[in-house]
Amino acid sequence: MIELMDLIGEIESKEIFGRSLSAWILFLIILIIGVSLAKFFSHVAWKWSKKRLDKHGQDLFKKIVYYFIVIIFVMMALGNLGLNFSGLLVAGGVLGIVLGFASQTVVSNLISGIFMYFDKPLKIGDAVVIEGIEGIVTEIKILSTRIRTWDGNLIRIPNEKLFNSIIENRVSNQVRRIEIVVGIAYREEVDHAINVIKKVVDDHRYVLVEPAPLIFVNELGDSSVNLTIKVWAPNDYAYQTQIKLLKMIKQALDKEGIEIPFPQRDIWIRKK
Amino acid sequence: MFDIKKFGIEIEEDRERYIYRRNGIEKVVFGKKVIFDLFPIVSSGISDYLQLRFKTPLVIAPGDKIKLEITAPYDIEVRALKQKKWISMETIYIQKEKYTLYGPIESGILCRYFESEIGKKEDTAVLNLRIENQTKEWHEINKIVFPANFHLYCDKKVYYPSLDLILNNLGLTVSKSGAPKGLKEIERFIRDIGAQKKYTMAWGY
Repeated sequence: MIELMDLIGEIESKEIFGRSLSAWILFLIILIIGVSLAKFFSHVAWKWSKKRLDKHGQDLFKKIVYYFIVIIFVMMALGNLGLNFSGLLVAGGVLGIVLGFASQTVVSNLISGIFMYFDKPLKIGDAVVIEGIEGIVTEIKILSTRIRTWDGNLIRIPNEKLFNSIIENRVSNQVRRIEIVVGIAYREEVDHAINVIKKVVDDHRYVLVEPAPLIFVNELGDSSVNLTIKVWAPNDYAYQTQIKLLKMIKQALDKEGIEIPFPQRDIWIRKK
Repeated sequence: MFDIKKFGIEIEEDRERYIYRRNGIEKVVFGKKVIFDLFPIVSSGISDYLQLRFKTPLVIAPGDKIKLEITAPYDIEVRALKQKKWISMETIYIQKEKYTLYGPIESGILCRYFESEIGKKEDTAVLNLRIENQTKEWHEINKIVFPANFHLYCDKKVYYPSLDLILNNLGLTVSKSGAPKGLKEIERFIRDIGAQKKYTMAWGY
């Protein structure tokens, strides 16, 4: 008993950075309790929001609850150490300016992340094109959004940049338009070529009946008469439809003996 | 009703396993006393709705009621069965599989598409329609759209449940009215996509 009293006395008397050891131990205990409670309540908040918010909203709500509780407990712990918050106000003002400049981008990303939650220009799983980057949205975090490109690379885009970018969301509608350009030789009959392509398009199961396919002469090119084919397909099947259509159109034109020309140059050699 | 040989299906039995083959598709089915059978279904494919476009539009006089039979698509599902449980081997499309969008690009619905004719035709199902024009105007019906969550019925042909088409000031509403006379529904054909029994065609008919 006497030994225990001695130990407590020793802890009381020992000082680290001008504060007693017991004050530091209490500081740590408050922090541990704070983090544990923050984890618990953020999980409760996440569960509560499961039926009320989408995945992105759930994650955002969870993080807000977590950091809010942690900040309160950090302040309590610092108060326990005897840190005077009113005294910190002056220092905080200066520090605030310094931090403000330093964390300008972070705050900007955070605010953009919150705005994006309400604006909902994209969601996880969407196929998007952002400033030339094309891929699937895999993660929307509070500061950044991650896109997995079609060739498997992971790209992190800060939310501020994303918020100010032009976003092409390719799955917001059920259907998507496919455009194919095919050049035929000048000597070929245009109507015949259009009919051959129309049959291919009509026979393809995923080319929608409505909106109706469009096939027309778009350009009288240098080496060919260019036909544009515009068809609509279900979003999930658009890519495979495009690939298959290209092959089928080539095969059908070959079968009908319709030439797809390649650029040609006539070279004249001047005789001296 | 359907002959398994007609569709070029080959089933090779080897002790406790069966090899299913058709048009390059090959599956090995393990099990004792497995039965392979064909069932008519309306395969939604990638959509829960069906659009029937009439080859010749139907023009209905004000206040009139009419009854008619039209053609509708059906597909064949090859199933492996044992103890009333089954698994689909594949779906054989009897008619051309096509799709269309009903409504605007932003909010329209994707539908399985079929060009329908008045009367019966080989290799098509029969759909009985009862159309009632409750308005004081003439109406032309070019197409009908409805959720494809129905039972099918069979005797020598495949039947859809009968449909009621009501034309009123709200537009055209399509609702299921029940089994064709004298036919019993086959429970195995149910495909549940919700309790929707009525569909009001909001984007024209």
